[in-house]
Amino acid sequence: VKRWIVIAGMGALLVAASDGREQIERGTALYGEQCASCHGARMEGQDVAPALRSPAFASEWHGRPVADLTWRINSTMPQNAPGTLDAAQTNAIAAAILHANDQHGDGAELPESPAAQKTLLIGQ
Amino acid sequence: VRTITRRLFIGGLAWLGLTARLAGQATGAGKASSSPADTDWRHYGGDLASTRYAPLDQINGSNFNDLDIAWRFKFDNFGPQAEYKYEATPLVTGGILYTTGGTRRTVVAINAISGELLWLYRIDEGVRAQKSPRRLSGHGVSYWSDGDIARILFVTVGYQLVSLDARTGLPDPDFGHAGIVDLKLNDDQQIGPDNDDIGLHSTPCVCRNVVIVGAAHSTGFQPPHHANVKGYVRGFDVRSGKRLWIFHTIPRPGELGYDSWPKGTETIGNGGVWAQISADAELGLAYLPVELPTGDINGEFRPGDGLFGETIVAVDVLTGERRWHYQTIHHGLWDYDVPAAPILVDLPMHGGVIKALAQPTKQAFLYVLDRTNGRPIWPIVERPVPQGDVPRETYSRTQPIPTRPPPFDLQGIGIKDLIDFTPELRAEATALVRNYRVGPLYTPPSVATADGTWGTLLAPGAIGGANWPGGAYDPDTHRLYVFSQTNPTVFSLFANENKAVSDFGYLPVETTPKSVLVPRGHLNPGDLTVEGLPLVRPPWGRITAIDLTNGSLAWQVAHGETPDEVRHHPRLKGLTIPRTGRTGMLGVLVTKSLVICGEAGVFTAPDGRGAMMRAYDKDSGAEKGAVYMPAPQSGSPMTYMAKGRQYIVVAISGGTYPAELLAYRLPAV
Repeated sequence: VKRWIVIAGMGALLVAASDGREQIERGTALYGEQCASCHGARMEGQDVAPALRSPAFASEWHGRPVADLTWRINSTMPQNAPGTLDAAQTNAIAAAILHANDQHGDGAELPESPAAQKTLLIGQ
Repeated sequence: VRTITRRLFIGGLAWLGLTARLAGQATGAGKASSSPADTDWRHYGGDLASTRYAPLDQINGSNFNDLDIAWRFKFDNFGPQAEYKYEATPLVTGGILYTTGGTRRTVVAINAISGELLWLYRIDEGVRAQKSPRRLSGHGVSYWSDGDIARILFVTVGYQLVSLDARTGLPDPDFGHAGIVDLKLNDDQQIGPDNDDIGLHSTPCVCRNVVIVGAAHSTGFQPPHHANVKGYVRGFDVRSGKRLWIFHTIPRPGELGYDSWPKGTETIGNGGVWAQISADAELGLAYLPVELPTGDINGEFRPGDGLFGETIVAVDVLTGERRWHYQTIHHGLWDYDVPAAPILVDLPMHGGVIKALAQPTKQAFLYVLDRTNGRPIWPIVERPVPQGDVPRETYSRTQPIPTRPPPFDLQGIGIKDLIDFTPELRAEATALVRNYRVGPLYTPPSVATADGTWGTLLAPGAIGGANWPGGAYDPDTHRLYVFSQTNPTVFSLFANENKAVSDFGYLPVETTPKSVLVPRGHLNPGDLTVEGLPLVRPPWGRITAIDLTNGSLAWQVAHGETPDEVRHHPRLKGLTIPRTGRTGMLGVLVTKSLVICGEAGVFTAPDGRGAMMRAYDKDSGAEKGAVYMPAPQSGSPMTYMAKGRQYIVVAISGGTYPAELLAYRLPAV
């Protein structure tokens, strides 16, 4: 039991140590693998999938909690295998999308807990 | 055969107890709601001509604001996940509404007055559906009846054509195998059952007892291989499901059009018809809007004009034989496709009536052709267009440019088209645009480099202009109505260093470990906003009325409320900004007096966050009313009369709001 606590503690340290830029880079890479084929290389959208860049993105997500965005990504995407992204991957992709929309700096990671994400409003 | 069929039918009912009960209700409801004044909406586009027109006037400009919700129908549980992009237009006949919905693409029959579920049909296709390039619920169903029997036909997520008894929702045992035709078979090419790239989300076109089915593929921006599945079109007998004909949208050796392919067509794929097909039963012609062959913005594997890429093809409904074709773009490089149903219009001209066809497109041209022979109604002239310099690419020297009607949205980008709310914003927009190649329509994609431009910036973007919802047409006044967005996109290419990603030499994605695109000051590659505002001047969404008697624009209005983030933008404080419209893909409905269309995005409305469904005077474009919707319009509105009352039904969804049908009617008097 002790060993697991130690490992968990190290994990927490790692999370604390990693900065927002790493998360955005991970998210951008994941976006390329998992999302770009439908949403476009630059999140510009295609016939079958909406743009994830503003103005379209702001139009839909402005004023909504980040938790809504991560929930939507995790529960419905990628379309051929919804629910297969874990929380860290989902958060990284959300961070990349928010960053592309000037809605998220690279100073810190997005908070992991849905409760904390509920208090973060996109565009505000 | 008939006895056996009936016995099977009764056996099926007994076995599926729930369905049997629902079926009983369906029959009862159908009879109860039928009355002489009832009107139907029997096709995705209203009729086979795809006019989206209904001559109803109970709901009009004087009472539109009084509309109430008659019923709602939610699809949250029609599939393992909810759906947030619900694009269907339902059908109504005999007081029953039919549509698809949910991520399983379930077919439902709904009482058109009360919204009660009457029956449903679902099929779990497993991996076959999971791997489909067109998931979600699609655009709806098709209806056919010979007066005795009635059928609901649709294409599943996994590309199977299903025929259901319209009364019960049970598969027609006389059709295909137990009501199903496997569309991956008998397609003049080998298609794997699970992984191969073919599906369809539009509704089959049913004309003269023939079911015409197209094909869709994954978006072709970064195809893994140029040798994709081909998107042929087939006709099937509506009673038996027997294949009657096939039309090779990519011609085979010896077939007409093959000589437009200097390197042949043996390996190239795509060329599907994913948009809605229209038909003229009297002429016996179906009109196929064909998309690009493989490579949406890169034609290295398809030199030449490449018929029938981006071509309208008229085929004989009964035999599939080509009667005429018209190519809208030669060797297209902009993913413009032919994205929507051709609209069949009968125009008063030269003292007679011309049977014509009007094709809305992403490139914001309306192509108006004689639908008996494909000849332009007004001259369409081949004009020189900009040439590109992407290695291994070839370019068409000219493109066909319609002289009338004028384009209905912005084409090409110049400084004058950039945002100009303030001189400072214009200056910032000008600085941003300097990082791209810009020019007129058909300026080709270009290679993005670290020290040069980031690619070609062009309007319309790859998603239009107009797109799959197409337009509507009023046969009384000969005006055509179309929504379009002003939403430029970047067409850029990068040398592909990783053949495991794709066999294309140039791709719109970078496959090198390190990006050649780095921010320049505060400008980021691909970000087309200025201080969060769109780069180009509004309107960002508009509805255009086009007079088809003379090919002129009758009126144009910005459609879509100004977004919150624009209304409250700190840089715009104190300025009066006229309604901006907003980007999206929207279908319009035309009635006796109104043009009706919901908005593509939400804003803070008096009734809460939502979008409005707006009605315009169809003669002048003046807004006559608007009603609240809790989410954006994502399908296209339709209308019908049932028991003396007019209904408007529209599919809404988006963001975190799952798929829903909203039915509006006036309060009871």
